[in-house]
Amino acid sequence: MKKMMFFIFASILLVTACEKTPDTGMLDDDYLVYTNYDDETEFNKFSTFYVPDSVLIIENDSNKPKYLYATPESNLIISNFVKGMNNAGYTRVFDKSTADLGLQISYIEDTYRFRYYNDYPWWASYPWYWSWYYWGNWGGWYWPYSITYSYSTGSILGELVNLTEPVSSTKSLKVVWSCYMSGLLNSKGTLDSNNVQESIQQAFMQSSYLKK
Amino acid sequence: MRTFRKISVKLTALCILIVGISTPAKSQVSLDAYYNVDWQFNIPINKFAQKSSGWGMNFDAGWYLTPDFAIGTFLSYHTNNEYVDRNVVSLSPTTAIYTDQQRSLFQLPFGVTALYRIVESDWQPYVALKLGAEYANMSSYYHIYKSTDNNWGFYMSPEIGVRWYPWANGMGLHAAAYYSFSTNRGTVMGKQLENPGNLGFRVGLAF
Repeated sequence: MKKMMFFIFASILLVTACEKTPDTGMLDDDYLVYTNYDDETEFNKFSTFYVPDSVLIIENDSNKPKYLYATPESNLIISNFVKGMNNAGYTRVFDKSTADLGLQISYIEDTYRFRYYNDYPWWASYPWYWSWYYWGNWGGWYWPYSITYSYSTGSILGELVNLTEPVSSTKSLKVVWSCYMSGLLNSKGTLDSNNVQESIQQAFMQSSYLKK
Repeated sequence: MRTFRKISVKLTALCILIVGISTPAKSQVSLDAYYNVDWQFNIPINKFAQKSSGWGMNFDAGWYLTPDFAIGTFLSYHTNNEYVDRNVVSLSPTTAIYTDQQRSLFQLPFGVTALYRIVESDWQPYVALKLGAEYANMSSYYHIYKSTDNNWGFYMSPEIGVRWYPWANGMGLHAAAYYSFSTNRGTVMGKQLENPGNLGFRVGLAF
């Protein structure tokens, strides 16, 4: 009977601690690139794009919108997005009223505040997020695909909006391509230029449909 | 002389074997029951996590309805992990993600065993068939994220093995080889698991 009790006790002990978690130390700690797009959009029909000269900063403690403007970081980020768009066959214009596509870029500096936002996706609920009014008299945002990711500190978010649709305050502005790059910080907690460059290039490489 | 030695060694081995299998099984805890606690090693047959591992245990308990035939119950578990190098993974027709990942498959089958004991002695070779359910947890660890899918399936596993009771205190040794198959299905990070199988062996204690 004692042996039986030992057997049962040992069994319970072993089963409750049985799953072997893989060694995540084997992961290369490099960046992650996520892309998604609207499969009803014909990207070869667009010719031009407009990109603002600033990168929106999404952060924890902000009472007003903040941007990276004319800094080494913003120049690095914007120039690599422009390079990717040019390589895809699109031409940059500096008058947004003539652009087919709008490219808005955000830098997620801190996500702590946004755990309280339940709207979907959460960054669109950020009070200082890109406004659809920036692109025209639209009625809101529209993502034709699901966004299923949680976002982390030190990430870049890029979105292409379709500006060829007739502007209407009763319609939402369609986001036709989204990209998200994470793991871009170096050991000092600042953006690593190599990671930024490579991850933006990767976003375009894995989006072969994005072609004039 | 050399030939004589060879014959002697063979005869001695044969005698030990005959004596071993013909000795009545008086030393196990109960002649009407058996219990096993095993460590196990497997070669997974699936496309999700394919690396062999020894991260598994097996537990058996059974009761003899006749001197040869027993029914019992079992529970085992096993984890297989596989590192997948950095590449572009399609999560849906429109979604792509570029990362490396650690895939992990945890299998936990349990159910009933039908066992036929070939010889009743200190050496007890047997054949068995296990039927039951399998719980599987599929996981992918990547960057700072983890994606999972839990699923259930029907489980079937033929097994051959032997129990050996060399000591008088009731404890013995157990060794077995098995194949298993289950109907679990799931998808994590665009990678599908369908009807996972395993080839493996287990060694441990018999009571």
